[in-house]
Amino acid sequence: MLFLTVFGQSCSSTLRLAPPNNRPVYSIEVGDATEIELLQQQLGLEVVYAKLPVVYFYGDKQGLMTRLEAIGYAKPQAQRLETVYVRYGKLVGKYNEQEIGRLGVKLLNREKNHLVVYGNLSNLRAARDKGYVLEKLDYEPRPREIEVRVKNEDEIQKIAGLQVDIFSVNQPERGGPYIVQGTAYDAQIDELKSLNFTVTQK
Amino acid sequence: MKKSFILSLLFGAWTTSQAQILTFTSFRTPAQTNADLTLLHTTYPTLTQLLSIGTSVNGNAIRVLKISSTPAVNDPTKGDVVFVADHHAREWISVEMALYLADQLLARYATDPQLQADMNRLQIWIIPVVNPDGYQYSAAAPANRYWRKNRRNNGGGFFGVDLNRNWGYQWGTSAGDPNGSPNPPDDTYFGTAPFSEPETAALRTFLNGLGNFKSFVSYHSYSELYLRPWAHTVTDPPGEQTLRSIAQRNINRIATVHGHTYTENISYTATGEATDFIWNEKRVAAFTPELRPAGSLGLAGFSPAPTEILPCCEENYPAAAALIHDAARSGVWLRDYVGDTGAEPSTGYPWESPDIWTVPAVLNQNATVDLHIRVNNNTGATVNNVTVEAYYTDPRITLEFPSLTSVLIGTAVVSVPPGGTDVVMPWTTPVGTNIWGERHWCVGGVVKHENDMPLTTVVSRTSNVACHNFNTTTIVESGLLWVAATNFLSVAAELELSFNRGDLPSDWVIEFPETSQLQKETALQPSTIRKSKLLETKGVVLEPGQTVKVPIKVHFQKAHGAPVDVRVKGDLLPLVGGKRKPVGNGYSFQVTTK
Repeated sequence: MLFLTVFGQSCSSTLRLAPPNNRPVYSIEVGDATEIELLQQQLGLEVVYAKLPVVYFYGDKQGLMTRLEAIGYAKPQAQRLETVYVRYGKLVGKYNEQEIGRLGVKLLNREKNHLVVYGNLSNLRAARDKGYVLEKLDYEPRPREIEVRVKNEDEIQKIAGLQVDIFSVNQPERGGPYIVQGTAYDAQIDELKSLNFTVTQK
Repeated sequence: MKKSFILSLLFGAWTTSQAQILTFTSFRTPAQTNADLTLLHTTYPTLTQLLSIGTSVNGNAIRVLKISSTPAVNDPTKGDVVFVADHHAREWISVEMALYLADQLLARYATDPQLQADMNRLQIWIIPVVNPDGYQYSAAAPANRYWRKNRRNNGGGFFGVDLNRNWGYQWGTSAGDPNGSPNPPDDTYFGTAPFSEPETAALRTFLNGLGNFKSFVSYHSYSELYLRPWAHTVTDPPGEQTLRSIAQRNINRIATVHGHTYTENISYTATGEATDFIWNEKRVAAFTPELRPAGSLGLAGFSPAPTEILPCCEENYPAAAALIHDAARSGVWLRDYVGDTGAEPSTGYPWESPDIWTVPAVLNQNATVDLHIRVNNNTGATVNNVTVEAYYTDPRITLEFPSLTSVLIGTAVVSVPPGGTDVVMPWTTPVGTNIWGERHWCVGGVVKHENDMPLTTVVSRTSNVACHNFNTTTIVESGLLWVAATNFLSVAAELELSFNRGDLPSDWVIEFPETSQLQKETALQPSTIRKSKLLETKGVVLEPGQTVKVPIKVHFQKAHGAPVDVRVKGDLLPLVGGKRKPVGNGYSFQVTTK
């Protein structure tokens, strides 16, 4: 097993792995974004976040569950707060990317003396239990400036779908390659490379 | 003589600054932008009002400069044209463009009679900074210069939501690998919910409050593109022909100034985008110009040389002015009803255009008739190169032209002398019946000109589009009139039917069927049923593209010798959040009795 070591700054504080509050969170499935808006507007639903088709919301409003069921929603599912909330942090010290991946912790950026990782509270706790050192981010990570040359618009769409922040697409010669420029985190660059794109970091 | 000099002679009015009070030689700071907005207002107090449409995450005002000949009055008879900039913090040149536009309009008002006439009919709203927190942050330190999002604290050390991924239509969808992310670190993060951000929510509320919304432009940078809906899919939107005509006209206007030809394709799709929401929900022409520079310039493309600012603004001004002119009253136009004066939106019955008729008047299947379209011209001079398009569709409430279901009859390019002219084109009526077994159709006419484009496809909201519903029905006591309504919107909608009692003989009674009876015929998605319950709808609910056939019972005590006009109005109320604005049309029967 390959272990790499990154050296952290010892002054960083420990990443806190507790929910931001203890309000109960439930989830329901909706058809589209408009439905979320109507739930907020008509029922005062307090959305924690939505990843369509699932909406996570605070379930401590009196009578809310009954109203949701009366409107036709399936019984709202109580959620474990440890799986609802996601945290980002620095992973310092020894690491193995495959192992942290198996624990459900995802990479965002590789820095000289740490990794920027994220995961839900449960996954991050599992990583901490395995001995990984997780610290609070003391700066705001930024994506890298990249350039990718692609053959056609389908490939540009793939890059967009990986959430690269594209700011220019050019085809200098008709029939020639397109030059896509944007910014991406290391994890996105990894995905681009896994799709056989040649990525140039600027 | 150099080409550029000839162009400047031809288009001198576009490129020559006239008494402008702002300069465009460097990017201004957020404080300067605020000061210059105030300066525009204090310089032109009788033409402007400086307002706030709401506040950002950090409590900064989202300021709007209202330009109007009566700025203190909200006048619903005037059209509303909206220009916004800087959804994305780093796109500073878009802020300059918005300020330049305001400066030019105000400076030219006194000296350009045509522009003055246009502006007197409009309320022009300019919001130079949709994202004031991000704009301030991007200017606060060199390391922040290329910040894109707002400054929402997402927790865990990450900030920002991409405001142009946070609008409600197609928010958060993942079909087709669109650009728009659920992850807070991403620069395309779409937020926790549609309109989760106070900036987009404030803008939506502001737009919902406009009485006569005509057009919307959202300036971005960079790449020199002129984009139109849809952003979320490569499929054409309803009314694509109309949007394309306007975009291509505007691209031509831009190119004539400094020779920069903007292109139309961004090559990827994105969700929760502003113009998609506006075209879908409002059917108001909405565009996204991506300003200078062009090329593969990396992040530096957001910081072009300051010498680029003025030419960028100069070349985009004519496109903006053209939209403003389109939004003012039409020069070439079609009447929606007898007595129509061209006011927009129409009152009366806008599906009975007297400017559309056939010879012979009675339509039989598979027969070629002469379709006449009377194009009016109130400019006082001959207007050349007017494009006249004719479409037909099954007659139904809730029509727009062109639509995804309308069929092109023909196109003509004509000169229209003062007063107007008749355009005649052959039309072979379809074989067979329409969707509910009858042989009549609705014909829509669209007139377009370089200086006069329709900014919507909805008949009642523009004088450039009209329709005539060809239909004659004979009924006996307790007879039925059949009408149909189609939901041409891209979201589920509730149908409201109505008629004007005062139009009918006193002994006539009209009965609409119960909603429950009609609703049985239409299959709804579970999500639509839930939305309907949330909104406590009363009318029949239709999915996008769905049609309902409505039997209307007519009772009368005695037959009338003369035909009686029975007019049924239909409005679609979309099942959406915020203020639900009806879009509608109607249906007329000329009823003979026996």
